[in-house]
Amino acid sequence: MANYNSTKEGTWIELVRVELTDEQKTLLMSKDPNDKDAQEQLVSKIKSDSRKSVSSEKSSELTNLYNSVKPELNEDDVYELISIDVSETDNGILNCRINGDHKQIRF
Amino acid sequence: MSKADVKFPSSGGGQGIEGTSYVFVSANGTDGQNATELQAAYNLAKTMSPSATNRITIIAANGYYDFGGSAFVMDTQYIDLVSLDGNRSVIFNSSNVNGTISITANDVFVKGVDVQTKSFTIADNLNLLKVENCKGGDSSFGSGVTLSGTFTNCDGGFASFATDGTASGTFINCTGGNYSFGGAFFSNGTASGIFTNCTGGNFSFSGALGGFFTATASGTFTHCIGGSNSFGSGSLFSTLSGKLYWCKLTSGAFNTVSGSGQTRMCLTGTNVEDNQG
Repeated sequence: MANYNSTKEGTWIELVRVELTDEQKTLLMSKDPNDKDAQEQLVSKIKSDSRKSVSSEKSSELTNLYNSVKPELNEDDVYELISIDVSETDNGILNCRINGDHKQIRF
Repeated sequence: MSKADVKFPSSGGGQGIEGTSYVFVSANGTDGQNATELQAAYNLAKTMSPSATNRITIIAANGYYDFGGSAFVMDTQYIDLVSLDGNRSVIFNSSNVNGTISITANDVFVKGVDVQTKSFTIADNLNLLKVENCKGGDSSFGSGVTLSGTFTNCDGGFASFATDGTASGTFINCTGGNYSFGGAFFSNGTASGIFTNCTGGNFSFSGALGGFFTATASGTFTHCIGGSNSFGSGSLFSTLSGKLYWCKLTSGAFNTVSGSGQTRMCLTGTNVEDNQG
């Protein structure tokens, strides 16, 4: 299942769950200095596999969704996006702050 | 076949009881029979046209429920499961790790379930899920997922509450072990939700081990307690951009805040007050 995330308005990434084998988990937990290079390679691979770029078309679609759930603000309100998480079925949660207060909007 | 024609199996010998909006599980049989009765009640609830305006509640009596090697899967919205007394008295006692609860439907309320040391399993992105007064073992309440529901008075073990994932929901009076609440163990972790009176072990609230993964504590944390390297700390890629009020580390110091991050009236592992941002 695809998950999309944004922490900066207009910028989206797809979060992908990376399943590790027991062997890979053992490698990550190894304290043997000889495993250091292999560990770094694996970490790099996990990082690149777990975050994918989003097409401009999908990005526009997600931004429209975000704009539709973003709370209405008064002129003096200070708004801060913390994070918005969207599933492939377009349900999700928006975490934001308005004038310093944490708000959650589930949609 | 109408609902009236459904023979509610009461494997323990008692009479099944159901109303328009509830099904009662008497749990007066063996542990295995109780599990069968609960499953039958759930199957019956599915036939009662559950909807947003017609929630069906399964009320399960105190007792042990042994699901053997298969999970009790809650895969239908608007069917809730609560223990009779509200306590953690619906105990899934299978010795098989698979004999646990697995929640895959979104709009569901679960209260009073204890799966002992097994994983209390929750699927990805269930933003309308509410779980209250439940207990699981290691890797409970979502692992590697986006956990966006509401969790109150829940206890998990090691790597619980969206380890290697995103804890973006609401967490009140919850407890987890190391790497809990969006901790980064085998992947990146984020804690962007609201956390109140929660306690985690080391690397909790988006802490990370060593120099590996990205850990971001961007949510709001009030009266929370973490072990060493908690609250957006522990790796080169850790970020504390959230707001911490009256939080405490049991070991070590807080990371330096970034962005709009703040710490107020927080205490380090040596009880030094920390106020940043």
